Amino acid sequence: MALTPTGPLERAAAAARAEEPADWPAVSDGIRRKVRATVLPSRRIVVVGADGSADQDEHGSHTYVSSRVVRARLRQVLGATPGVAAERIDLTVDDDDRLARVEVDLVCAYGTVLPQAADVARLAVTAVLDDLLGAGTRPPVDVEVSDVVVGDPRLT
Amino acid sequence: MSTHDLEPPTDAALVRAARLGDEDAFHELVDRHGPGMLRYARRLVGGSDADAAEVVQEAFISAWKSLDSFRGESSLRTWLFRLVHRRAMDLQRHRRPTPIDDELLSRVVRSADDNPLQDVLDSELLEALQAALDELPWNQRAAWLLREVEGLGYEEIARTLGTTVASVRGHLHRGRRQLAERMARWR
Repeated sequence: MALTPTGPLERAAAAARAEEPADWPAVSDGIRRKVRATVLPSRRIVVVGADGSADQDEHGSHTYVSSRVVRARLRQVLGATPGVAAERIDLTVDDDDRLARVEVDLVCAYGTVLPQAADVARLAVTAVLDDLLGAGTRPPVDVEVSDVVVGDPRLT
Repeated sequence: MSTHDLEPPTDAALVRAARLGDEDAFHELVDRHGPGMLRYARRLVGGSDADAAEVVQEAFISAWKSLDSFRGESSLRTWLFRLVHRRAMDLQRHRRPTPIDDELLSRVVRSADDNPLQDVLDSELLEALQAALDELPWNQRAAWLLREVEGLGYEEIARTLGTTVASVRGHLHRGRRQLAERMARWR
């Protein structure tokens, strides 16, 4: 049974604990707007055709995709893969703006066949790269299982 | 981060997703911990709504930018309170003390029995508490709020304030004594 605070300080502390900031929704909205406006570091990555060329036309035009966009899509795709969650996605971009390497750390559910989960993740990554950066983008994709958790790693 | 699951994701799962740029996951953390941080900031900076909102917003933007530096050595909640505390200290250094405003009286307090008289008494008590808190030294005020209002443990408070558990005990002891003296007329 909860004790009823009797002294004035105890009563004041109880009242302070019970406070629900009425302006929280407005503050939360402000944070949402600022987060959205915050530009996190990113690199541009050049789109490469199946022939290995980055040229999109006879003038040598190039198409670039922000690494932020690629990471976001990889996060979404890996997050939809049962039994795994991405913990780290690192993209290495070379001096020619080509994607040189992808490194992914995964958290897997206890009982998952880890090599199989890594293969599924690698295939998912490759499909995203093909979709976003062109068929000529074929960097090595290193997958490391960094942790195994009991339950769904997207929730635990 | 899926939002349709019945089981709410843990802080660790949300941090993992937010580190990869998942804004929805980050906002779930914001709405989970933000109200307590705002309550703490408001009492710490003298009751100013605008200052408290600024402190909490800056703390969360800092968290968003530096989630990679959160190593899980403390709970996420402690880490966030530490960010709020630092921003509040910065604000206090650069500004003159802010007087208590009348809006304190309009703050929403959960009413146990829909008792209007109790609500008025609570509001007046809170006003008196804020006045008493404003007279306390900074660390005593912070330690008391974190312990008695936000329910943090001594170790968590020490991490938040960047001090030792022994210092926290001292701040709390002196803070409680001074507050009890100032609030005695409400007995």
